[in-house]
Amino acid sequence: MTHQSHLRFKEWCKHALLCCVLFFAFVPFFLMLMISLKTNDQYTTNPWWFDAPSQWCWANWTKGWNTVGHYITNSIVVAVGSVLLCLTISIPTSYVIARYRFPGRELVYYALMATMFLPGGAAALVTTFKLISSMGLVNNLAALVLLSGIGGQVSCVFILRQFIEEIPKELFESASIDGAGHLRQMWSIMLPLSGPVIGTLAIMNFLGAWNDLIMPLILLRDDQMLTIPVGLMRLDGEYVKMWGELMAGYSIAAIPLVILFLFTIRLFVRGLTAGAVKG
Amino acid sequence: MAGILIKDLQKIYDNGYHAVKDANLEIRDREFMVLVGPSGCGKTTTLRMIAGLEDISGGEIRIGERRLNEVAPKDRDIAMVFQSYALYPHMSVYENMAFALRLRKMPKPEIHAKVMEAAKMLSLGNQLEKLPKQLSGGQRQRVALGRAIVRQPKAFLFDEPLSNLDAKLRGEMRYELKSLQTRLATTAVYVTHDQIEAMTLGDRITVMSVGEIQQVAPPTVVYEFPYNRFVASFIGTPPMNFVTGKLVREGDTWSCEMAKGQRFTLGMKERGKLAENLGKDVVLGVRPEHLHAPQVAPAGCAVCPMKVDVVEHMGDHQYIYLLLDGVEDTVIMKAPPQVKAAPGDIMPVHLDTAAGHLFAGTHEHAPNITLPAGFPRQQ
Amino acid sequence: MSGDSTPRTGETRRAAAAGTIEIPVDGAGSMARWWPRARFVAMLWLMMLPTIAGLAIFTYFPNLETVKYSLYKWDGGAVEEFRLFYNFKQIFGGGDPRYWAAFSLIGVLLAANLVKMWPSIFTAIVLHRLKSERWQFFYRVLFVVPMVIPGLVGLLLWKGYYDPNVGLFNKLLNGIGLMPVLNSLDTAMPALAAFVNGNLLVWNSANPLWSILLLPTQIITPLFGGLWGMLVFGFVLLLLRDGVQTIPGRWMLWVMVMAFAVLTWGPNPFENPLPFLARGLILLGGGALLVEWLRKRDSIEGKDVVARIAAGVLITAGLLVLLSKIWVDPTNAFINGNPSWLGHSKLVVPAVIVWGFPWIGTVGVLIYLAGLANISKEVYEAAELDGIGFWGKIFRIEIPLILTQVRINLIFLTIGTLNEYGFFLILLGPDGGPDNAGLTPGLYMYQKAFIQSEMGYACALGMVMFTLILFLTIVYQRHLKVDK
Repeated sequence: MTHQSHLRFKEWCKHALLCCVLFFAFVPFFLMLMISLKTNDQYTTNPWWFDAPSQWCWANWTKGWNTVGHYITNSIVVAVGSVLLCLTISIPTSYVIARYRFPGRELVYYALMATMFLPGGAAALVTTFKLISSMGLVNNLAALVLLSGIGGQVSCVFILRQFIEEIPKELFESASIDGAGHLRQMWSIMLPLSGPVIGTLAIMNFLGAWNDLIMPLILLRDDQMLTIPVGLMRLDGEYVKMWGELMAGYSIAAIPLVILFLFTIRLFVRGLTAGAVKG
Repeated sequence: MAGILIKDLQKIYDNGYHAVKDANLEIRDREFMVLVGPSGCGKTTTLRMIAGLEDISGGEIRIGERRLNEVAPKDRDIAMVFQSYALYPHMSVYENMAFALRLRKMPKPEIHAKVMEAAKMLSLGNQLEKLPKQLSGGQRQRVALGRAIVRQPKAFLFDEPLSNLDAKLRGEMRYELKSLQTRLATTAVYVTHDQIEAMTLGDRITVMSVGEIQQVAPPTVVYEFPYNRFVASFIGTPPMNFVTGKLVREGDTWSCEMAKGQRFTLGMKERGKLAENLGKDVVLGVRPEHLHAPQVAPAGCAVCPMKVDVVEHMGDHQYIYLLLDGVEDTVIMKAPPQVKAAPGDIMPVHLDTAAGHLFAGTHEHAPNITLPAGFPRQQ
Repeated sequence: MSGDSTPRTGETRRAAAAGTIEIPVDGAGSMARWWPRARFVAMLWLMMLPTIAGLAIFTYFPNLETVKYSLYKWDGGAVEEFRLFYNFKQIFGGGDPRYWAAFSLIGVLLAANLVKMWPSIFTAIVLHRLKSERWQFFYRVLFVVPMVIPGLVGLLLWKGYYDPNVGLFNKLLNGIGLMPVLNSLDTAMPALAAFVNGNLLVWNSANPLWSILLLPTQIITPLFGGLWGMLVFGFVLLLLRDGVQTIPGRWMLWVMVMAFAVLTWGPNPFENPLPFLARGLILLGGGALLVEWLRKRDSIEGKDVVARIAAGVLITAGLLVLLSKIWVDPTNAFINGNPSWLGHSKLVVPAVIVWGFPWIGTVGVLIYLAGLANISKEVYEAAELDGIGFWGKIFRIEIPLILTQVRINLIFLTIGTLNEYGFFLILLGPDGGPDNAGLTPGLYMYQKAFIQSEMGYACALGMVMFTLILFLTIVYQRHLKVDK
């Protein structure tokens, strides 16, 4: 084999491997769509196979929409609210921690970081519930926004702080001599320079709130209030056999995310590649 | 426009490091003051305290009549050019220059006029829409200058602005800076570690070392009358030659006796402080241009044979590195090109000790004892 | 809030550090001096206030309450009764074997997760090595897309794959002929385990070959009291090589760990003290001398003799432990060709381990890729001129240079595994499946709190877990330096 063709062969091997990975990653996606269009009969005879629907059963989607439709609004409210809350509180904090040395700086930073190592777990679920109910926020989407936004700020501060520290400090100093206060420095220097990173953090937080199951399960009561994962889990219990509708529901639940990614994927890929997410 | 007054300025970092000690300095209105010294001497810290980027641990800074200690950087009405230029990478050249004005809520047409004027002055006219990363080093430097100029501040602060440029550009920018300063006639404080920049740019030079001000004077005074050994060694290239010896006197003849018994007769006119150092260790400092080959030597020099080590031809002159018995460092002579010397030659070197200096003691900051009586440290 | 007081202390410290400088002490002067700085710091604290308040109220307060309730009998509602360390006595006094059994499951899962982390790393390396930038971007984009799939879909699908009769997994095993192999292993592996276990203690003259093969363990067993002891031995060798740099430090460590190993895994030392003493002397003195000697040889010849011995010991012991401990009893599940992976107590854990094959989280890949992207081209070019090969590039350049990411991942993986309960709860229910085979400590805590309403007890369990995680974090911080 010549050196050239050897190189080309190596490239093909890499492509083959990556395609293999992609295949496995997309199987759930594909199956979800397929099952959502199958009749329940076809599904039960041969449930997990890649055969095309014998009858394209669009009725599943109609029913799926009827069940999921109003959960979507709830999910969007929770996820968007959580992202907004998370960013508005974590951006100033990371700015302050990254830019200044002052008494108490380490204390706040380590208090934030330590929460990643708290056992949290099931025991804290109960005390958290107790807290939320004492605030009268049970069965209220605001509780989810608060919990997810405040929980999400930890990783935001962790990552943003590093990025701000990598911005040459002369830029901030120059801006402050030019007459910029804290807010202006954040708005004009920090935000434009860490845009992809902040965008990626926002998306990660959005996904976290979107997919969260345990907290909504505990905190939400009324059917009107449920977010998509909880709503569909209830659906799972109600119609055990109705796989088509269930998967149609999940497919519909994925649509907002698809739209989100359509607009932000370049930003997101750039942010991820820049190291916007650690661990 | 206003002068800057620095009084008993102190900087102590949280880790206890004393970066600036008792600095007293008056920078006059419209003066170009250069702070020069090796890295870690406190010059940048001083500048940053003037800018308000560092807390002041003690003493005070005034611009005009106004005490600056408690004033935020943005309210000090100063502009600063950073070593790394600190151009905002996401803003075009125009936006970079307009940023500060916009923050001051200046009306748009006025901003435009000022930016255009600065751009013209710095010949940046066709670069205004570009981003900093699309510019060459020299252009970036100009944008940084332009950003300072449009502000029309009370004072310019420069933090080693030329050190990121290559040697040729640095020369050009030095010239531009000088002519700009003449035109703008604004107080400027310029920090550098490069003594050539200091000599060429400064109306006056402040030489700093280990956090203390060593001497403040116009460039020629600093060169000719270094206040102490540190100033003498730091200003001038190649640096001043130093030989250590003992101060002895025979009748009316004062001389410096070396370890190996060689003697240099001293020709300095000012001898007021010599008597108190008689018999003590002193350091004789003579600049390379005051060492002469026998063919071209003026009268009245001390003569000492030295061995030629290396010869560097520079075109219109040459540097001859000489070895002196019993002295560790090489001695450098600046000689006209017609002097013939080859490595290994023994040359009777003529030292013009009348132009030299004598320092009391061998330590780095030993005072110059050949200065006229009452010679001011700051002038 | 504290913004008022802290700057003052800071200013005093500053003044104290100044020492020689005379700072005017008259009221107005010193006030003028610290007031701007205090105002400035107060401003900074104000900007952090939302974070601090949110953290205190929604994170620290509930977690601190669990500390309080770990000392109570509490049903989560009205019934509260203080009873000091009763809950802890219950946990540590042997009253709760299920909790401690859950930890061995965690050990298995942790080990499995450590393995499952590598496919992502290798995928990232392959993606990073693609020559064409455009293809790289294309793959990166495609790797993000699977994030839109709702998390529960994957869970439902995998649950379906494991279905005994119609599931994909069994069909696949039957299709490629692995099911009969599993079935035969079902008798072979327990036999092998019995054989290995039998050979550990006595010379088996019927099988001289095996006995010779297992000779090292026969020497080590009486010294260390078993294979686990051998694992400890291997780890200690490694620690002595890398971890502790001073000679007294190494000896201290050696004494401590050996004493621990002998006491834990050896026969009771007080019944028969003489061999115990002899053993201790041989181990403590001989072993330490051996290590010192080997280290000297290391430095002379530039070889990692100690590391190689340690690796050898670890691998042998590990393999033998696996053989003798894992598949000890036949499961009898494969005979009909339709094992119920999630319904059989012996198959739940293997099913959970295989779960998610090929274990490539596409976002994880992109995270590692971010680390790889920081490797400069010059490094590769220099290595290629030095004649580095394919594997050399992976193990000497790429993995060392993304170690930061790997380490961070490792920490979160460990903590995540220890706390894991959501997945098991949804998959297996609060009991952890058949025979509680999938009962993790976290799930057990959940069960106590929500099913059995023993909230106080669950809080105490949380405290134990917290201590453990704290300890692990400290160990990690010590030994896996995380730079960023």
